[in-house]
Amino acid sequence: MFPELNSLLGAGTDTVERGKFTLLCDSKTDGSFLVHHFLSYYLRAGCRVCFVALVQSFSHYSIVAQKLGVNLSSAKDEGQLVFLEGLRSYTDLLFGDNPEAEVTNPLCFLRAGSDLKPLYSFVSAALAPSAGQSWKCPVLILDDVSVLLSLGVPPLQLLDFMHYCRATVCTQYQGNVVCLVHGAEESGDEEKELLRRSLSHQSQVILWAEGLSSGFCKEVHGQLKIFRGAVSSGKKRGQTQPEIYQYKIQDKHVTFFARGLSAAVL
Amino acid sequence: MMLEKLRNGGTPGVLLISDAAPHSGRELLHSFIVAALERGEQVHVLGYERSQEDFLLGFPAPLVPRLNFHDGYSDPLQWLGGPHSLGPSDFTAERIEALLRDSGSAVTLVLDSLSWILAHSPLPSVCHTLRELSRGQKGTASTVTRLLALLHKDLHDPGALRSVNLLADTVINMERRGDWDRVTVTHRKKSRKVETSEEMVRIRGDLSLEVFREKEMEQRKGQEVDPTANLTFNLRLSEAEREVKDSAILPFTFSDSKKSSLLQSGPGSARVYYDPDPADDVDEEDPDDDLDV
Repeated sequence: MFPELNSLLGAGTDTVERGKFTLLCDSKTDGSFLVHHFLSYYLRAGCRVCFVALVQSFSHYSIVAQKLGVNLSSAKDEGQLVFLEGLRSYTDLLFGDNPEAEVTNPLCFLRAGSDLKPLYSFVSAALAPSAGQSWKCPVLILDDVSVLLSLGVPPLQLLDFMHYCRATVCTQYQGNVVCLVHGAEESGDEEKELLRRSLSHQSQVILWAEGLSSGFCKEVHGQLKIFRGAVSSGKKRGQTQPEIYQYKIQDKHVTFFARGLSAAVL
Repeated sequence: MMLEKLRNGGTPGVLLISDAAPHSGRELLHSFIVAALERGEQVHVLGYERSQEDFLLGFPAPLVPRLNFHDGYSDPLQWLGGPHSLGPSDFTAERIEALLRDSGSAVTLVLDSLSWILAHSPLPSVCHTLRELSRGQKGTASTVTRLLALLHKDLHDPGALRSVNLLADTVINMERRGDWDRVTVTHRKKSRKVETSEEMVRIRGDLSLEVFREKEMEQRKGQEVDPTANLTFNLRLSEAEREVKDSAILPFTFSDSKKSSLLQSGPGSARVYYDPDPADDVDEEDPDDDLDV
């Protein structure tokens, strides 16, 4: 969890805003630090989290989370975190020889070429409110959904899946959904670009990490654009201009500052 | 202003609001809905993209009960198998007419959004339905007098966009310019004459519009950026001020009165008497002789 990012977003660990869909994008840089932020933030805030990890292994997330002061293994044991390790599930599906396990595998749609209902059922079962739980609100984090496009899922099916996640987690359970779509613009991948645009029409907050146009810099790693309330109605009309900050990623935290005001410059 | 005329006058036919991420045209859609409700019309919303609570958020409370929301958001593909919600197959003129059966003759139908429908149904059938809804089917007049649809233009290929735009009577194209939306309105009149207009619009908190033509906007901008407007000091002098300024004597001016006041010693001023010590060895030629350099 990066406290500076929290203060930029107006979030705190005491109260968690509910019913929000946050889209994370990046271009010319790696926006994964945002995923690590949200994972550790929601765990620390006491939310029940379902994490669908499609790009890295559990140990990777666990090591990063440990640096940020959160223990994923114990959160998993306590039932606060439900972790779907996409890399393992997919390998099991491809190379496993147990047909029974294949049916219960949340990623079995990759084999059958059907819709993403199995993955949706996994997510909604993991986050369904049950009696005797003291967790605050359910949160779904996906890292990164565009991987499924590369695995052969048509964009429309993926968007339907995201639609159902939103309808169930955000609206029905009053929880939050955070989803990362990696660099769509520079890859020239039309499907990815369509996915990113469709999701940004649906999201309440978009965090967009961009590499500097002037290239790599040791002191400033990129800039973060925050689009707020593109769809939230009512309260803050006319404030759809993005806020832009530059950031520097350090060992255990990220510092944010106004453009051109890096400590190395001043 | 054309946009205001369209909003307040309630022009019949298909009206498209076409936007692109990340700037949403939803507020403009809401503004048109409020105008229709204020005219006392029946408004039916086919909501595929937002839940009912989210959609109704921000509407003035007295108007909400007159808005009929048909849910296509919670379970459009029947994955949950719960109570029936609208799906892609429900977007036909017959089904929609059935939904609207109980509500009078003048109905405003809102599609939120047409993009969702276009993604899930083939283009020809969507165009067919749009046409039947706006023109009436098989000789009978349609109950839908006005159709408002939100279209995310960055999600479709140019061919599909053209077909849908051609079917619409009015297309409102939105672009973001700073704090304002730049809106290009293309309106086809009944006489088939096409009118276009470019306007700048901002949506106020109560969902009413603030519209300017682009030229006026530029003029306004010129006025707005005048840096001398609210200064804490004066840039110009009035006549009286100029006189006072000219008559002021600056501290370094050496006038006669100043000279005399410096040369004349007033009463009680101090004087210095110097009485050389007999032991002093004053050398007239080298007064600094005693300095040890």
